[in-house]
Amino acid sequence: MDADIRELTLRIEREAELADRIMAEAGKIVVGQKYMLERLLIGLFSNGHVLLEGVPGLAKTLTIKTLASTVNAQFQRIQFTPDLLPADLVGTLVYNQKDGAFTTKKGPVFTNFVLADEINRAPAKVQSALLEAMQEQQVTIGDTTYPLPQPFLVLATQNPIEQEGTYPLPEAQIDRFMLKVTVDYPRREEEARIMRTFSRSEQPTLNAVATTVEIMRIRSLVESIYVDPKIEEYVLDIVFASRNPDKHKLPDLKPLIQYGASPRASIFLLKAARAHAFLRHRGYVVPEDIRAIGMDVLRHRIGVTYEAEAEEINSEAIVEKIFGAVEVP
Amino acid sequence: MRMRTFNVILFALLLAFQFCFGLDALKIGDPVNYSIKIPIADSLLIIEPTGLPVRVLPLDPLHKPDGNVFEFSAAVYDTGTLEIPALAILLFVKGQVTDTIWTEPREVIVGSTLADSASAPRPLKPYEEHPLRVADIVREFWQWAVGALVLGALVFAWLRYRNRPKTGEVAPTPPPLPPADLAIRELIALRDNKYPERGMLKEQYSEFSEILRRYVEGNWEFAALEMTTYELASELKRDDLPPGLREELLPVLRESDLVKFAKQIPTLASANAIVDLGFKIVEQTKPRIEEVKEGQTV
Repeated sequence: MDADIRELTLRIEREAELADRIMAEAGKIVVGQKYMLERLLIGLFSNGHVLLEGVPGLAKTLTIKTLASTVNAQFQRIQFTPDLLPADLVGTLVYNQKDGAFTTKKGPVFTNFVLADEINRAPAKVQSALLEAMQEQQVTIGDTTYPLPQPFLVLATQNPIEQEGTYPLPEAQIDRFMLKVTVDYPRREEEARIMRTFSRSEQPTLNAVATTVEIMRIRSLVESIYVDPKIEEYVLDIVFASRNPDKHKLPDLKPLIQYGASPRASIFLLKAARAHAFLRHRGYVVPEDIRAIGMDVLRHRIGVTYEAEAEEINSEAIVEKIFGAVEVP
Repeated sequence: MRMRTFNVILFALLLAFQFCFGLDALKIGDPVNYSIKIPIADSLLIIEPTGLPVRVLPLDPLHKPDGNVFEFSAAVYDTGTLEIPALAILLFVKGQVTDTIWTEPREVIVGSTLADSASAPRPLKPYEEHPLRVADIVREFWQWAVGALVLGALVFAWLRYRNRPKTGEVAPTPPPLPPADLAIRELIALRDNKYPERGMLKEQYSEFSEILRRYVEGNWEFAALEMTTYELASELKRDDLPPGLREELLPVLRESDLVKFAKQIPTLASANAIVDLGFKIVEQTKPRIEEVKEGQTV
């Protein structure tokens, strides 16, 4: 192994203990759901926002709250409702009668972790208010632009059922989420543990095991993880197969895909793969990392046609076919 | 005094009939012309009788400026003794009806236009037969037939030319090599390339890894080329695979991954030795064709 990568791997092995500590601490409250917790850490370490989708009661909100509690950072939960206004989110200018001037009242978005609970229950204008915060990590109130505290992470949840009275996230906003994680039911033995843990009035207490400084240090470490040009080619093959499936031995997918993954998908695939490699204590990315996070990065970036919907083929099936057809380097 | 009486006296009405023939020698459609001289009226309108086989046809021009003579004709479209009824004529001065006058009813005898019976009818032409004969058809269409034949011959010649066998075309392609033979052949080619001596270690391990994946894919029919090493490790747990394949294959694939993706620099000896390891894996795991001894059934 190259000396730089060997040294990097040694550093990662030391620093990745922090991730293990966070996982262990969160595991006191969150039973099972290791996959979801790991995806949240990938988002945290690679500076990417995460959207969790699952039916009610799968501990989406609890997991996010727990993760925020394990890090010594500011946390705000915003319950998205149909009557929420953009100013309720980002803040507004308030007129002060005493001195006759406007003062800025910052909204709950000025925090490290934002839990946007049931994000699809608020109208599009409120969802759009998050756009600038998510992409630019800053908020403009009146004429002034305010930077958001670092690390800044939006963790949103949405419910795939009960579509009545909801506002589906527009493509522009959903593309800004690095990962869209589908949360599934726990296994039988996990549910038995959940039942036992939460039927008691006394709950385990959580300790903050990481600081924002440590998170920022890990972020910079993750960014230095080595990605070979072969891996980059692999990522490009996958993304381009979603745009031109007929040129990648997938002519059957051509009528099923309305639009393929955006360039943001390529960026996020690499970023998330680096974070995944970090969680596996590696200083380099291997195709497994791309495979592991590929579904969560791509499922919300590929639009399916009416023909696909009629045949009950969703974007996940398309992503699986792409991964099954693109040759691993 | 009523205005109508005054007008009738003042206009000095003159009504005359002009007959092409006598009124008793009319044929169907012959016109019966009327002429009216009215000094004051600008124009007039003849009211056509209804329910009778009589049509009133205004002559062109109806209005004659010399002496204000108006002419029109009536035609009868039935045979027998008929009466042209009294026709009502409205007189107009400056667009206003000023008076109404009536023609006298006339009895006419109308005859039909029967054929001339004085001369005998001409005899019918005799019936002629025109049988369909080949000679006639040939005479009529031989130019077209020759043209079609020439065109057909040209098309046929062009098709033969287009589908002619290519010069030097070889016989059908031979069946593909068995995966093990193919892998051996590719490993020999890899060894002959001498990538490590040329400093191309990454290429050496990439091609080596690909050869072994292709070998596994060809022999046991799972998409090893599209699988990561981790996925392959779980797939190689299958029971139908030869013993030792997983244990032999995975370490070299993992080592290849390190060279390919983690900038690992192997020694020259180990880079060359890996090809020998490939030969060994293929030889040990390739499907054996068991010899069938005499009298033994398979």
